Amino acid sequence: MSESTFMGVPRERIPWYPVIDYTKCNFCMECDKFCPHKVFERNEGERKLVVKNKENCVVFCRACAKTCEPDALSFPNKQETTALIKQIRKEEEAK
Amino acid sequence: MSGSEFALLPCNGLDKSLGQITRAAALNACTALPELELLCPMVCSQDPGRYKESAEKKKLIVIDGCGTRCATKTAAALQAGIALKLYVPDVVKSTGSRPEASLEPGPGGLKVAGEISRLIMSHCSEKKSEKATEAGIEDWNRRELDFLEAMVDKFVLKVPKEGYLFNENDCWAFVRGSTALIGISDYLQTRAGDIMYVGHPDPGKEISQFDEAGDFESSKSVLQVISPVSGVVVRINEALKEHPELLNEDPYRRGWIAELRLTQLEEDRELLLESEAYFKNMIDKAQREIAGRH
Repeated sequence: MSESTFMGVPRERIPWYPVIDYTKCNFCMECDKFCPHKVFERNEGERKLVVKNKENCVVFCRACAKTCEPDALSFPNKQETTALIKQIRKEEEAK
Repeated sequence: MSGSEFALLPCNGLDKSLGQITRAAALNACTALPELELLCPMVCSQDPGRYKESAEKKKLIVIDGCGTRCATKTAAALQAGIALKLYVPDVVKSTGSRPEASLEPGPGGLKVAGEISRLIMSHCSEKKSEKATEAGIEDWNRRELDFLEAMVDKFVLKVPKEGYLFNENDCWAFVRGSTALIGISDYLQTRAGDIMYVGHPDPGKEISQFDEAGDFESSKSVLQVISPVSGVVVRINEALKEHPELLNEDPYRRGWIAELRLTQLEEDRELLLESEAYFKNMIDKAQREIAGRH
């Protein structure tokens, strides 16, 4: 079992993390400065910011999006994520 | 309308477009409300004694231009309680404006500044309702609680032995008939440090399980309250507006954040933990966090 779980589900099976819209991102880095979980990483290349540590993102937390003035961060659909977690739990129980 | 009870502390982001909007908003509000005291953030930092009396006697309104939150941090250094906190990017989103990137605010920036000053004026003119003793809440606040306790590093972390349901986002629900009070766990308040401001969900708002149900802010960070249950907000804990420290001092009683009329408790229970299970989860998380620091 994965070291990190959410409601008994291995964290890597839950696709919850921010996605950066590079057409909007102005690389102000406010989200990176804000996030205490080191989800983002700064780069030397054209994309100066990437989502590096997806599994560090706290499931259902969207706090970094609030710091984003150009609204460049999005998260998965919460209801779909909740349904997926319930489905995986059922599968695990059935094993 | 009077601003005499309030002091306004804007950020000093003169090198940023959103900081210039903060400046314009503060000047608008102080022009409209001459009794509203304007605190200079530079003087607050360099000579905090100058504003000692204001910090003690007045309710503080802060405006942060960006995520650096200089105004909030300056308020923390003054040890002043925050009555209203405005965050320019939030207002940008709520107004749907597109502020200009230039340092001189154009029509978009001025629209945002106008909305911020309107919010300040509205807050200063609100008639504060009498603190009615809500049925049952005072008794609930005074209940005796038995705790599960664990020492992790230098912190003693507590979880009530019974009656509370938790999500893994460190928020609790206490079901009372058809409603539930919600709040944050001892672990979450410990992680946050000294809490200076609580943002409540709006009464009447419908919230699904795992939706944001408010936020809170310390000098270290801004954290979300992620609702353990689905429901409609029927009331909020007004006491936290003047005493956000209750979240640190008594997170399971007087630090409750909101009361929700439950809409699908049985379904929500599937992703909730009872005390023993949450206690184990909390200790694991706290130990991992401590290990990560060393």
